[in-house]
Amino acid sequence: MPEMTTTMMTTAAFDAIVLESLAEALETMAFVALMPAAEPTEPADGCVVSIEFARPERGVLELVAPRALGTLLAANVLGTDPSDPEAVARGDDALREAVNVACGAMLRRLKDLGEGLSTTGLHMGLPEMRPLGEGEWATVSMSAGVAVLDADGNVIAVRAKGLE
Amino acid sequence: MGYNILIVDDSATTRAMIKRTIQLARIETGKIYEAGDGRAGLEVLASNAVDVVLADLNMPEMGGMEMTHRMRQAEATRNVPVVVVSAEPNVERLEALKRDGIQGYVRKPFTPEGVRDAIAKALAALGPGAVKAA
Repeated sequence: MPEMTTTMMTTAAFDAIVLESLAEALETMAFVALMPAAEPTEPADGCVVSIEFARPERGVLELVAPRALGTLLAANVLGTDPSDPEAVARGDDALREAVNVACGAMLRRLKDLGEGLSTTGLHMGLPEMRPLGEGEWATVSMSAGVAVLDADGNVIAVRAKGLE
Repeated sequence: MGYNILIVDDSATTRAMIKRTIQLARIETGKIYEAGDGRAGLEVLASNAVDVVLADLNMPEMGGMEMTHRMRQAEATRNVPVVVVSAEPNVERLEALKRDGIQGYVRKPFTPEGVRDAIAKALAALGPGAVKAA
């Protein structure tokens, strides 16, 4: 996995920024708090939500989460219950938007720290979503730079990594 | 009679969030329209009277800036205020967009107060009494 940090920032500091950014997105959007996961159990009906960015070197922010987390986010945003069909229908969209917002917050934090961002070199793509592959959770959750967390009862994993 | 507001964002969740914020923020609204990208937003503008537009920047098909450019070229929408609501991390770029025709911006993740204040500021340019006293 290509290193995503610069000479000015340690890997730990970069990983902390990724976590802070996701926490800000989830808490501000939908009042969902992040905590360390007690057990890194594979999420049921898991998906991978990703968004590419350039700062200007290319990278990707990835979130692995159960689709139920999206339903919870949508329900909180709508002020309804996760069993509400409207919340269920908007769950995937809510997950994509959470990753979009987290990516913006991450790049903003890096820029504020002077991590080599410029007006011309900064770019965010559009968030994409796919099902979590068989056996993928075991690989992802054990990878360097991945944080496994609990988001209101949903086990998730998040990381930002460089792209070739 | 309230102000008609158009929300342009490819995320239905964000549109719902903004709509809920507007409804809770004591802003006197008439109709609240929604569109999933800039092209759809222009279609709404072509057939409806809209007083203020809230638009994301980064959307498929047509982003918020191209939509704003096209609005500024059309007589009917030249003066309709546009407030950007975006995850765009570069504040310098957002400030620069003000020179390109946007009236203000709100960065995602936003608070209800942030959205309310940005709308109030944009509506204030249209005339007094747009926002009830809190």
